[in-house]
Amino acid sequence: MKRNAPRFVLWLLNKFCSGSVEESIMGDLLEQHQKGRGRIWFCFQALGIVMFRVLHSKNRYTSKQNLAILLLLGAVPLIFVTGSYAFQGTSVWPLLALGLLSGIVVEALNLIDGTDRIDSAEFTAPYRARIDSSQIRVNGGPGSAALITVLLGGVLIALPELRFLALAAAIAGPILAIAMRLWRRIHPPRPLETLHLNK
Amino acid sequence: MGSAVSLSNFELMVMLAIIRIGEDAYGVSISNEIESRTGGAVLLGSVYDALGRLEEKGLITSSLGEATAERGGRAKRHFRATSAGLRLVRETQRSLVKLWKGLPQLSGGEV
Repeated sequence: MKRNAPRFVLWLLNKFCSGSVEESIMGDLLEQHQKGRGRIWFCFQALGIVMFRVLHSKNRYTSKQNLAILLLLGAVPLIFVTGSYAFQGTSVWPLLALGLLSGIVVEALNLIDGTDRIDSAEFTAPYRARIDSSQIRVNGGPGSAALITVLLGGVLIALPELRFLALAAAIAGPILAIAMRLWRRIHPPRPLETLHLNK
Repeated sequence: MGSAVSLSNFELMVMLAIIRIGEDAYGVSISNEIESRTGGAVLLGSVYDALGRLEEKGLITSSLGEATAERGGRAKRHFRATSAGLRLVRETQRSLVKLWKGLPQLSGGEV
């Protein structure tokens, strides 16, 4: 019988392991999982692979991206452990934790994509004053949507009088994010050669 | 005179596992071999990390094998020790044996 590997872990592997060697690593993991190795083994090995790939591929990821990954991997247990002590018995804690977590995820998604606005601006050489704005990619759509949804979901629970406003915003967030993604899919950034640069 | 290229402890283990397994040496089989011989748990990531370094040093070569459905359509990567790799393992063994000899603290079993 075919066993399904954890989707999130596969996503992580796909994100960080792209190349013929990495394909073989993923194949090895999937093969072992099919042969009966458990999900915990699979997750443990996959996280190990991601960690090694990130730490030992200095040219592939920027230090910002590495920091984002470490934040992402470390933030969840850290927030929950420290938060559970600091805000024990108060209603602030779940909202704060979700807000913090979402913020980290949003920033991590932006950095992992590696095309924040500062990076895009690096394509301009001195004396070339103008950038084609289509080169600046829209990123973090799903992350922003998650942040808006979670934060406004918290408001929805904590402040019932703002329920309608929060609900409307929570629906608008994902719709806006999807619209941004679709817009970029229909109007993809032009290749670098077509940059309109001033001479 | 020794070679300029050197092997770390784990790289040496990986080299020995590759030589021991022979034809069917790939990530998982190497990892399993080290685990069964040393009794410790091994991260597949660390094995591939060492394999990458060994290949860069020219001590092993790799080739793609068959892709199966079980592996999600991904090909197996087989590893083989090169003659330079075999030579280096032999040199390392000789050096270690020389260092081992004449150490009363290490003779006779338990420390």
